[in-house]
Amino acid sequence: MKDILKLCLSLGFFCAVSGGALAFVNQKTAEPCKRAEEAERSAKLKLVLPAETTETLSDGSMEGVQFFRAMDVNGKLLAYAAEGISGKGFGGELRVLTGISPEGTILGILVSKHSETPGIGTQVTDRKVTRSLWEVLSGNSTSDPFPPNAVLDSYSGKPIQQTLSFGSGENGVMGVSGATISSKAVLAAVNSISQAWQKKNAAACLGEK
Amino acid sequence: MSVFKTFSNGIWRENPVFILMLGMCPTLAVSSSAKNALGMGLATTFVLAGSNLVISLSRRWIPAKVRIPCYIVIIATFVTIVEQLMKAYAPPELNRTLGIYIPLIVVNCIVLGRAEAFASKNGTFASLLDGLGMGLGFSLALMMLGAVREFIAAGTLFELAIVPNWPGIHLLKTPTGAFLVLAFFLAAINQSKIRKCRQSGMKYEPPEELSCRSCNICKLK
Repeated sequence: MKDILKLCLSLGFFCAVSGGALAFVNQKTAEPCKRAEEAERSAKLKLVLPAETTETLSDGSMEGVQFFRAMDVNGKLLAYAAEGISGKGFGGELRVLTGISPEGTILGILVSKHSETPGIGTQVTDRKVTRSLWEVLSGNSTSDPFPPNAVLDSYSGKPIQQTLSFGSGENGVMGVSGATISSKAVLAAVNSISQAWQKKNAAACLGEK
Repeated sequence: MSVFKTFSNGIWRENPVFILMLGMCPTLAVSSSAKNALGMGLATTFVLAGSNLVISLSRRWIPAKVRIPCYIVIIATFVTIVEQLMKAYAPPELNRTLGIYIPLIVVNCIVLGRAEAFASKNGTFASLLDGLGMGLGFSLALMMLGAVREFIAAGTLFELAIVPNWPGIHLLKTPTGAFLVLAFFLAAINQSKIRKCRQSGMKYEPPEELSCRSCNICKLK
């Protein structure tokens, strides 16, 4: 009995000390953590929004799609942004961040989170340019923060009010054969934004009346 | 053991990945590129050194019967600290790729293994050195695997292209590739050991302290 008490007390002591240490670290890093998260989000938003954007505000969410508003220096509304989710990527969840003009045209899209197969699914999802060592050493390297990706760029200029599909028509976008599931997941995420956008606008119209 | 020998033990003679074969889960998962391997290696090194230090400091007050739970609490504390620090200060891209593997350092065998096999029996300074050496050995092994995998898969190193127009073999970026590359590394290491033994006219046998017979985790009282 005495033995058990001693064991409990010593284990309890270690737990208490580490609990205290963790509370201290948590308190110290809470502020930088939040700042890092916000910085990451606004850096990503900046890529799909017009260059004049100075401020982004959260604009609520609808059916799991998060909306943002982009303002310029004078507080004028420049564009919207939305993040849609598809659970049907090859490796699970896939999130697509979309910039939308006030008229409802897609400005540019970006896959903000995915777990697709490297080299196959990532052909669809990644905007990435590899710089060569020689370019960096000779100082010739230019880093484009928003490199082109044929599949993702095929969404630009399409209307967000309508459901998009694969093909060459007016609302047609590109996919990659061999990465069908990833292509479909990106399309599904954009279409989920499209549906949420329509519902949101319908709700806004009702509100105005 | 001399100071240098304690430190260098983990780097080569008892390298956690290539010789002890401990902590294979993060090794195979995170060594897909040199950058990820470096991040994971540094995080593990911090946890190893910190937990070794604290455990050897407090080894007199830890009752033998509850030592494993005590070690886990100490290790988990360090891992959570690393996780918080990385969330706050590390580049977001590194956070995203290493994200789920950082909490898993808690159950990385090498950390608990060094606590049990070294820090619980040795002085504070020696334990700190052992932790640093083991962590460095782990990082180096991870980086070697990561560099080979990244280079063959994409022709890049630390995301910089070394050979233009490299015909990428994407298989090497997947876990399958990790097993393949690790197998080649282990074969080469064993071959070099066997050859060394043969040159000195002896028959090769694995060192006794590394065989299962003398592992003290099975000798619980």
